[in-house]
Amino acid sequence: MKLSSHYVPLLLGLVWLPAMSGCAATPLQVVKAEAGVDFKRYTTLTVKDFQNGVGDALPPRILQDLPEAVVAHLNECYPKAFGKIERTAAGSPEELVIGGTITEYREGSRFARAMLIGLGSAKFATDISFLDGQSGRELTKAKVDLLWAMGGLVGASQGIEDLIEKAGRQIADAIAEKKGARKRVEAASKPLEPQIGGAQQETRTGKCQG
Amino acid sequence: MQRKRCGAILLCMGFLAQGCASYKGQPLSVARSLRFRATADQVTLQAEPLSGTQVEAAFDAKPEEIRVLFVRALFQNAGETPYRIERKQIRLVTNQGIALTPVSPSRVARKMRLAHDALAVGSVFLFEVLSYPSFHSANEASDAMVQDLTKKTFPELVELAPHTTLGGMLYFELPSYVTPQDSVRIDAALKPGSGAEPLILQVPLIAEPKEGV
Repeated sequence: MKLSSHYVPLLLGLVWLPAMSGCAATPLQVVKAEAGVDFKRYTTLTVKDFQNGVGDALPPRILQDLPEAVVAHLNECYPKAFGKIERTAAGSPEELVIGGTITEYREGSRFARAMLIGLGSAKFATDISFLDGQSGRELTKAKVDLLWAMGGLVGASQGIEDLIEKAGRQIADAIAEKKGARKRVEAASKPLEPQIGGAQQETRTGKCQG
Repeated sequence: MQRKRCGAILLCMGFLAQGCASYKGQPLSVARSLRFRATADQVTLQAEPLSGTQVEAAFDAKPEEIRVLFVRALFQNAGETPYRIERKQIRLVTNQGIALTPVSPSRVARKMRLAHDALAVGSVFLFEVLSYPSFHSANEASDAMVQDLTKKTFPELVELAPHTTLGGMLYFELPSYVTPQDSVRIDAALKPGSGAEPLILQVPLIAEPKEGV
């Protein structure tokens, strides 16, 4: 069977796109905390707004977006980890306070990533401090450093907002681990799911596994 | 001929995708009275969750898709003491005892944009790339949403002066285990100007069985 010349560019395109998305590196650093410190005695968690260590390039809303991503993931996956999750510190002895400084922020470009690997990468890094609520003593420090440099369709499919969400999940997981909290086990079937979220949205929000 | 046709199809799809990413929020009517209320020390908090239809009209979003509860809140101070209200000191308490703090307009906008983009499963390229003509960042599409949501949101920190009324929207991101049928409660802690103990107001919200989240 002889292929029509009209289909050749289409076939080339189909080969090119997956190839572009395959040849990229995405090193993800997980949150690292000092050994020997746990958060078991704390019943209240306060996640403060982050500080801007980048300058004018950082949109102010990101300072809230990151802590909100942390809180959302904790509420979703570790609802029993803390009795209360606050956003402003009260200075009580049972309170663990988390804050930090965003140190790197580069939005990058979805289009550039789609076009050529190595172009338009997105970068997000932040330092995180875990403090005792009453004394203000720093219990431990951590760092999240994320880079999104994939090419092709995969590269275009995610942006800086996804990196911030990912950073929030990493921070939440690290807190839960130090607290000794278990991830919520999702039910295999949820009768209310069709009412409260379509299948696509559920794949983004209802994930506590992995 | 074939090439021209392909080009035209791609262009049309690009325009279509752009249309899907646009935002059509409408102004919210000014509320003078809301369904649920609590009063203490001459301060009244009225609150009411928006129905799905109201959210669609005012925010161009389906609350059940984005899993956000849109609550309209109204504080009235009929006394002589001024109070400081911090948005982060208002909470939605679920029947599981989980206290949720309101999320920022920017987070709601992100969820709304994700819901819009979810329409384009399998055509990520069209929606994520072609729908943003500057090819710079997906954030641009949500700028209009953020501005509109911010305009309608209850202020982050505000003083409730004597004999005044303040109102605005509060957005609560619902975890997947909170269902629309759950009974919830709004708790607000107001700090008096005198530095005395905070004034706590608790308003139970009774959700409609089928309307909204």
